[in-house]
Amino acid sequence: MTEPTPNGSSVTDLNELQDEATRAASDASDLDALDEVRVRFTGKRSPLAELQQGMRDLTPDERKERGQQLNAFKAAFAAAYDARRDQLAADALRARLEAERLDLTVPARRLPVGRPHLLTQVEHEMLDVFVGMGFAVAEGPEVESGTYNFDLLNIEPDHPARQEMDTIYVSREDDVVLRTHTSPVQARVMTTQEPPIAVVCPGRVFRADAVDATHSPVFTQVEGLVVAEGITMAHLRGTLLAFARRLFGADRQIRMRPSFFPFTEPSAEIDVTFEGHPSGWLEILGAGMVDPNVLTACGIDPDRYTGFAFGIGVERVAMLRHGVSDIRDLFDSDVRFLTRF
Amino acid sequence: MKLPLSWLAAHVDLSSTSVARPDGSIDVDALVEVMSGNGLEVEEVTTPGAGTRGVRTARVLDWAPHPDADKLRVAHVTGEGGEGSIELVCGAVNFDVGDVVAHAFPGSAIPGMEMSQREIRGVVSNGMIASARELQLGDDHDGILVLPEGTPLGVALADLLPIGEPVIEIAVQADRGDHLSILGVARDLAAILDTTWQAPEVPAPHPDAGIPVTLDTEGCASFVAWSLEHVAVQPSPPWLQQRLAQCGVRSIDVVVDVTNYVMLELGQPLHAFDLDQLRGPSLTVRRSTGGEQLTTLDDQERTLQPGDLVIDDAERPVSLAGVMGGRDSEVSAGTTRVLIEAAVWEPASIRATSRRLNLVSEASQRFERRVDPNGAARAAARAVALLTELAGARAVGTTTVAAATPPDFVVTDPVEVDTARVRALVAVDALNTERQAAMLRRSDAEVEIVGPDRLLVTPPSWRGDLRREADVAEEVARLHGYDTIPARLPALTTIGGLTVAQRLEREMRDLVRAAGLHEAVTRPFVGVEALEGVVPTDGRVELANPLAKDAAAMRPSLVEGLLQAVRRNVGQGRPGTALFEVGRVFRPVGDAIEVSLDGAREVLGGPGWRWRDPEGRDLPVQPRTLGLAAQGLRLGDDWLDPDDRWAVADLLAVLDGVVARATVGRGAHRLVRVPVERDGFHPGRSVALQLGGHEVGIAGELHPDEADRRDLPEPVVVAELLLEPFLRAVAEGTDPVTARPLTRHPALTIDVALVAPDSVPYATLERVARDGAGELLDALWFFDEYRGAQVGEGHRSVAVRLRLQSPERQLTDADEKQVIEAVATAAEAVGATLRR
Repeated sequence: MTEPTPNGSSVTDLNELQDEATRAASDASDLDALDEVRVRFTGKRSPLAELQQGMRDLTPDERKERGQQLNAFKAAFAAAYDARRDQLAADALRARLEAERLDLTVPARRLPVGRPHLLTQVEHEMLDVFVGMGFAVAEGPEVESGTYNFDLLNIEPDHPARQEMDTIYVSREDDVVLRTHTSPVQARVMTTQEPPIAVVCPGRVFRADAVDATHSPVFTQVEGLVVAEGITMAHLRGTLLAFARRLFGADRQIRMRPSFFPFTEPSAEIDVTFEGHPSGWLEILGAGMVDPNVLTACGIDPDRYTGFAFGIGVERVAMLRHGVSDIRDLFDSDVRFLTRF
Repeated sequence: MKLPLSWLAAHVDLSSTSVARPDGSIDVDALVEVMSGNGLEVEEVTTPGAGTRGVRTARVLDWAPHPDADKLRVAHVTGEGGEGSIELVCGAVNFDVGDVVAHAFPGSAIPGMEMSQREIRGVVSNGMIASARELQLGDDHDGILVLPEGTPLGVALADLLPIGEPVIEIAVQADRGDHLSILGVARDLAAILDTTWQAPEVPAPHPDAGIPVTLDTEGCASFVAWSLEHVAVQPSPPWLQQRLAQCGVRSIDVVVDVTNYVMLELGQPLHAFDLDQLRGPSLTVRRSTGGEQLTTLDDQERTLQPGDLVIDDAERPVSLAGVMGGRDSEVSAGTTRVLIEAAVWEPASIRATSRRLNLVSEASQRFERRVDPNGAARAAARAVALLTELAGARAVGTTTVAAATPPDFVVTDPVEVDTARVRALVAVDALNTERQAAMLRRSDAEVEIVGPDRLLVTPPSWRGDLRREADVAEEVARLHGYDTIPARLPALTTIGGLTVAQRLEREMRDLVRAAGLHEAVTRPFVGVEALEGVVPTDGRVELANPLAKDAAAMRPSLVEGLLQAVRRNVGQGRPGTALFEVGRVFRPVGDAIEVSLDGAREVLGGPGWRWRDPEGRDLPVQPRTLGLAAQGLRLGDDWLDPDDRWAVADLLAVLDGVVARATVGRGAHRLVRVPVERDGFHPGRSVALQLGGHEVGIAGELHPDEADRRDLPEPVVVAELLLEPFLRAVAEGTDPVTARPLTRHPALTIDVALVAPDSVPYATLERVARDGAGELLDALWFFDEYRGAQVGEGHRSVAVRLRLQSPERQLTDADEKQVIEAVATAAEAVGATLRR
């Protein structure tokens, strides 16, 4: 490359310089080299700068012509420069992206969210169905007074039903028991609230049963209670039909069979249609109209108010609906089981 | 209660009902459906003896010992039609020439076995002689079934006995003692199917008086005693043995069998005394004064308690009335004179005695549920008729005594019924007064229409359960059919929904799960040894009748159950397990945990946490807590980092998150961590978590010895937080959280490093930084801990970043300088220095 002479530049020289400059720009290998080219051809000490300085010595016409020539040179160089710069930037980005390539099929470092226990899931689902129908949720102690657990519920000390419940006692003298059902919560509600009452009472309950595939000394109930004026057996049936359909499927039917519970009269067992069961029906809960003795004992006028009550075993529903064959699986907390649901 | 179909059908006319087929036979499936749908809940239908085919009666012609086996006989029996002779081998010795037996010849079958010719020790046996046990006709395995003399030969056994017939077992409701008999179920079926029932014909009482009987207590409503002579105590005939076997009752001898048979048939328990063993002979019925001894039929020496009902002869107790007879007066092989007793006992007394002695008999079960007070005489007479027929008995006298005024337990008072109310309750419009009366008459109640919508209902003597209008309503609804009750949703005027506290509890569980812990549910029982969690205590809520030694008390903390669950998972080979549980823990009244609950309540507010009985006495303390336990690797969904193990810090982070959520907008309380040394915990890696100076939580690593004892690979970390105060604090709802204006002034960020001896906990250094920053502090982050030459042996440098912000003004260098100086001053007070 010949150094252009500062003052004797001709149009030919300028054209050559332009070719040289644009070629140098296009050939620049990276942004730094490109910048060097820019400085070399258009910087303060470049031929361009010298030509611009030399314009002072020219005649106006010459100055005009030289000005146009220089502008053409600058425009041509700028175009070559920008093109090369964009090219280099694109190459650099491409190279970076290539370098940054990640194998995203490698597992993420993230702890899985823990699972809610199946009993919790089923209990909450059941509660939410009743909450949707206007029920509140009431809770109470698991170590309970015999008065709430039995006496207020028409289960006299002598009653066979009291024996059949296989009570676990904390103190026989003080009549403190592990509640055998969540009905004492209903008694607590009825003795402290005025009708209308509509509550569901979830919680753990206890019976003196040895552990095996179908028995557990602790299990979970959701009991319900409605006390108001004009409550009938049709309301009991309607409520439980709605419940069965929400929990088991919209096509389900229920049937009521006469039964006996000390705290309800009339009493019923409720079956739901169940495909795959020989009879086509499966018992899911016990229910009935609140026994007048219970209303009276809890301070509610049985001549004015009637009510219905029901009790559902959460384990039973969970086992039926989710195909759990051994109740022990629900209390052993094997993570393989917990994470299944 | 087991109900052989033919026995049941003999007492109720099913032929013209919905359960009969056109040919008059009974559709058992339909019958079961009707029973289950109307209060006779069928548990199971079995067919004992089913599978028996072609077994015929035959006479034994001769027998001789097997030539090649000591314990076998070679016998010849008659063939088909009672003719010919067939050789077979038999293992029994209870038969002789001339006996009629059941011959299962080749090609026939007994339950579970097809018969064929078989060589037994060199002798070809053409089938076998069947035993009652093999034919499922009884439990007797002493030998083969010997049929009564005179049984026709060559006939199919199935033509003589209802072998293989359905036996329907029902669950008896606590208030329906009348269902504990064939007759009782027959009566109820008659009511359900609107047909007729019949009781067996029985002889009238013998005109002569029997032995003297004195009633000295109101616990016996009536007492009937028949004296019999010439009784031949012998095995019962096969049909009787079969009936008992079908009902699950063992055959003893004809006298005992007849009393059991009549009890099953009519529901009235009977007792047979050996009349020659009764002193006097005379009987007195009384209540025990306590202390008398009586050896009962099961050879147990019983000591009577005051109030037990007892029957004495002239000298001594001979029967624990209604529960079990005495051994000394029991009928035995040599007995010839028998006293048959039937009495009506007070249910509550029988129940009390039976419970106390833990002695539940067929009799006590029936008496405690109340027997038909009018049934005793019929039952005794029925037994006498059968013993006359089957044991050659001759009746010589009858004694009948009854209480002067019928005691309450036998009376069925009339019930006044408002039929409009019943119809409304049952919600079946068709059930008008007449319809209701008709239903009740089907149940043999006397029904009188005493006014518009008014019935006077006198239940039959056997229905002690119909005492009130509600009972009558159930009877009406039951007989009309529960399936006629329509389904309607009640128009509830209550406001439902979860409370703030209930929603908070659910959200707490979600927060814990988000940290990677799975929810566990454990049984809340512990043994004597149990690791303590929050607020340790020796106090236990012990059980009076625990199921097992390792379940003797209620859990004082959730950690024990969780650690056991973790152990089970370790046993499954899991490299890492993290569990949590929300549940109640149990402490005696006055336990130290009460101080924490009260203290937390002072900080957080809310209603009290005590549960009381109706008299206002405190029940054991049972707050809800959150328990956490983790061990091994923090495993991702599908990655494993062998260095990433569950640490106490993980659990602390969970608890801090839960508390932050629980108190958001209400002070945003923080738990203060205080290092503690506790049994079972690592002394250098455990902290108590305090709120207002009271312990509400604990977190720590298990002591190496404790982990080793539990066979758990270290490290194992556990934590527990009292949730009750946080849930109670929002029990009555919460005020809405109000917004705070978002300041537009830029924040000022300062990093400070504090150098302190290792004995100064981070929490103290953080407090220094917080105190120094004062009101201006918007956020604080821990970001570095340094040990090394620059800070000196036994020291460390802790770096935190402070973000300062003021809602009112832009912060300046002067603010920064002021904060740094304040931190420096506060640091000196705790033995730390600010690194400049």
